[in-house]
Amino acid sequence: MKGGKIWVFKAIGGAFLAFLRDIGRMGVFLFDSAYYTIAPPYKWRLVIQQVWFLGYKSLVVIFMTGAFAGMVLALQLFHTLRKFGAVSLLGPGIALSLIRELGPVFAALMVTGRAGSALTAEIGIMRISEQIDCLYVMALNPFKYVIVPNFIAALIAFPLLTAIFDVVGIFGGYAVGVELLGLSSGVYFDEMKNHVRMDDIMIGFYKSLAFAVIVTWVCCYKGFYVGHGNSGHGARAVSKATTDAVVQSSVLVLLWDYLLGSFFI
Amino acid sequence: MIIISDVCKVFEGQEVLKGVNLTIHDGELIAIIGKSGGGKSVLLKNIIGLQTPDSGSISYDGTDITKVNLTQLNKVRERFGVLFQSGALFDSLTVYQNIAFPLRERYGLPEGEIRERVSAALAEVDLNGVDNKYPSELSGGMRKRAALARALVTSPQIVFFDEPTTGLDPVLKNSIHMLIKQCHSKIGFTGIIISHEIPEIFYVADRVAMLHAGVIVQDGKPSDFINSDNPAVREFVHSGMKECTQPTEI
Repeated sequence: MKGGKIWVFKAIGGAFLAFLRDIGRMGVFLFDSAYYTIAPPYKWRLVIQQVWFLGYKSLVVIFMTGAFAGMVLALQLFHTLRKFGAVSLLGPGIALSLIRELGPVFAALMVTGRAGSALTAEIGIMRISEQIDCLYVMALNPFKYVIVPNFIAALIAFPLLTAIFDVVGIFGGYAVGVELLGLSSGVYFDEMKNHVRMDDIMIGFYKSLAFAVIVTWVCCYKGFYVGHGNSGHGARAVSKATTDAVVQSSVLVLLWDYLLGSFFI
Repeated sequence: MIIISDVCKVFEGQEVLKGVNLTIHDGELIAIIGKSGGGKSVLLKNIIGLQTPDSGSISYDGTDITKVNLTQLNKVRERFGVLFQSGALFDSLTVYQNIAFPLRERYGLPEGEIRERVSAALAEVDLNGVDNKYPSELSGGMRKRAALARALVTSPQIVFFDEPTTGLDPVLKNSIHMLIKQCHSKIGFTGIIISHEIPEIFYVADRVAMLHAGVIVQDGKPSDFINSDNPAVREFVHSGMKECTQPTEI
């Protein structure tokens, strides 16, 4: 019985220490990433390649989810607003929901699922096949080749993808609200102009930048330190790291969205 | 000269290296042998600075790499060429791009000179017509040769070989060993081979050191190992010789 209790304390203590170690390593990783992003030399060719991978290759999924998000919003809001005789506010309702909240969050979640998981798997395989060690012994800095291009590319791609998501969503809402449910086209856009301010657009922009950092940070970290701690070895470690990266990025995006919304902006 | 003194390393409570002492002279080709899982690769990772020993020192011509910062460590690493156990070729780059990588990224050489040096390195390892192939399109032996070409293309002073023949058939093993020997004679680098290939490694290396139970138990000429009095050495060497001479039962 006594031995059993000690075992429980040991397990809890070990898990807590591993958690603290992980948090500390993540912090150092973010600091190093930020430092090497600012410090020369810059690998612009790799940045462009990653903008293509993170941004251009995510366009289809952003178009699809943006359009359907706008359409669903229009359908739900139209019936709700009609009860209050405020159907004219459908346009601003959709625009504000998309620009302030749904656009940045959905775009970040979609890119996490499509490209973030791929980033973790790619970096993780580089780690277990000694390609990252190889960069170290060539006296080169792996951050410059593997991590920094992803950070810069995400900072460029996330705001653009969010903007595209917003615009496509607004037109998705237009298709349902105006073309299907019969709201006037002029009312839809005019009310939007009256209610959406530059501040709202900037909030969405800041959020997309924050989510770019969160997603890249978590996904690159999980790949870079694959197999460390108790995450297993080989292919299983890469698979676990990829799952963890997607889950943790998604949770952190939603958590940070709430924190930003309630405390900062 | 590389001086490894009293290097200890503990992993999760297990003492892998318990005070390794070894001196490697310039220009010699030394093999570090020992059982699989005996700490040879850990020792290599400590020697090339991928891991830091818990205690002890590793010095290259007086520079102790366990006490220097990253910039100074990279200065030492500029003298290295490493052939990893898996080859560690960048799988998203072609063979040409892989071999050109250190020349382009570390030295920023003009494209014409890079092309010349890559061609020479490929010819050196007897690998032609694969410039535009990706590592996944090559056989195991060709991948090792390509990785060797990349390790040698910067004309390193010290070359590390981490189990260079693991997973290869006997003919390819022999050809890789001969290639290492030839390149060493021609270029004159200091070579450190991590291996458990007995007796083949005795024909390749000038000197052999055996790592057993976390320490170097014997260090000398290959011929000293055949008639060693040390029971651990005798058991390891003779089981390796037996495996080589007796056909494997099916």
